[in-house]
Amino acid sequence: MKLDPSLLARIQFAFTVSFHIIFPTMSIGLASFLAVIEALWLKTKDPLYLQIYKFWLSIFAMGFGIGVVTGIVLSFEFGLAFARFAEMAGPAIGPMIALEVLTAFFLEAGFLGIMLFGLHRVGPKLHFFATCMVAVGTLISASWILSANSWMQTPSGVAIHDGRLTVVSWRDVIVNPSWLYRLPHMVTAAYLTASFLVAGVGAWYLLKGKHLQFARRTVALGTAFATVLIAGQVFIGDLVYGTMLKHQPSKMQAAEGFWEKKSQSPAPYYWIIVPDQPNQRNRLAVGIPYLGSIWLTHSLRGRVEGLQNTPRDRQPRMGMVFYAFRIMYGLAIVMFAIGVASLWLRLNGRLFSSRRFLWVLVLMTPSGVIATLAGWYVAETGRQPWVIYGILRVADAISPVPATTLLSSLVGFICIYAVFITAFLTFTIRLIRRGPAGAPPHAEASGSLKNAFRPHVLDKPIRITIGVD
Amino acid sequence: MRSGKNLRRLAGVTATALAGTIFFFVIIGVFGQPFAITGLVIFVVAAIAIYRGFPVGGGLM
Repeated sequence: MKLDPSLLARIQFAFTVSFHIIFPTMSIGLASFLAVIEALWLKTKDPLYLQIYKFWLSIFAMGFGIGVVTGIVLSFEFGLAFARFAEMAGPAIGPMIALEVLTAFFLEAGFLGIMLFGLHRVGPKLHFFATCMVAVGTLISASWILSANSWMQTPSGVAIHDGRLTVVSWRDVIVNPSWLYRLPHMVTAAYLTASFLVAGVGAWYLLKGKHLQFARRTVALGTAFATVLIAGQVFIGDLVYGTMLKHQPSKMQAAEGFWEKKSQSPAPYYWIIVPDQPNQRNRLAVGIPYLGSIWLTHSLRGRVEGLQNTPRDRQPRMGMVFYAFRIMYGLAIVMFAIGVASLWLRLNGRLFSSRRFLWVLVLMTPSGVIATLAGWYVAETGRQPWVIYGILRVADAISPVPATTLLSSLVGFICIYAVFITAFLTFTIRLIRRGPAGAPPHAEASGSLKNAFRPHVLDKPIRITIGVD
Repeated sequence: MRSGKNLRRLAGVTATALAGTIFFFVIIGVFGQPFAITGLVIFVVAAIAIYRGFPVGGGLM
């Protein structure tokens, strides 16, 4: 069997970047959540807020550490697997990555130690300042990375001379057409991720009858944040959709599942399709009548433009973009419904007693991570076959590296990342099962994973060690 | 008697779902961006009013 280096390079990058984005998504959301919780603690002096802060700080620390380590790998991959991309786009992308390190990592590294270990060593206000600086650092980091990635989606501010890019306007490179929309979309996604994570863990405690005060407060906070954020997110998402429709029509054409240059009128909104890319048609399409016209053209009988408007050699693979978009959008609708349901239950005083709702919250615990991953798949697979949209194709960006080398490094990444994710999940599940510090002694009640997390292990204090380069 | 109650419940759920769908359409800009912004502001203000008026868990939220 002949291995394709181009495919292996893409699989390797897809694997490492998918793994990486899980952790910054959580740490961006949790850092701001911790800042809010500490502010509430300082304002109210309620020790419950401090308990919530300490509990989520441990999980944040672990996620932050893995996020930093797995992020560094991506920078190396640019040079190792996509050398031609690095050579061509280096003048635009390189400084942005360097600026992320200088402005965000240095800020985070400076204050992370105080945030993690300084609660009893510095005053509460200085500690709160450190938490805020770490939260700001995560947002600055997101800004640079989103700017770099958005530039790859909607490049601007550069000229091409002899196959190399020259920056003619840094302002246009950084503030490229999609950045101002995609940044709030990603940050809100991170906040939603944290909200559902917090609410889900609280709901689990309520269902198990453990740590009830802690659980009630976290469910109340998590659902409140999620309700407000998801309303904003669907609005921002619509703005992103409009921007991408203007600058990357092929991506949105693939996301909607239509092939025809102009769809039928009224257009249905497809939820299931079996695309036949070679014949430019759907073998099967299941949708809701009229909804496509209403959502996508904002009229009752509007026609939707399909993927045949894009030349075949510039088309992304429809199936991947379509289903990634449906997962993201479907989860957003469910999140919106949960937000509205939480308001209704709060009005009726049943927010903590409706077991069905609590179970839904538990099931939705990883929903933010799944939706964010799906959103990134839409962004990245929808940009294909380009690595820099309209300028450089992926096939022309790959390093001249033998397939066996790429395969061996891919296997290496899978093995190392398997250790990372196992360590993270073990640590997180152990913390959740142990419960917040200062909880009553019945906190370590038995459970189904008793062999893996024995009570005598749980009784030992857990130490966190984070290394930041 | 029971079927009457079920019918009322079904009608309530359907009406709520329809109202929710229309409100979702408002927020995602089906009726234009000014409506979307207004809908978003109304939703957020109403949500905050409920949080303030019906505190749970003994906290601010």
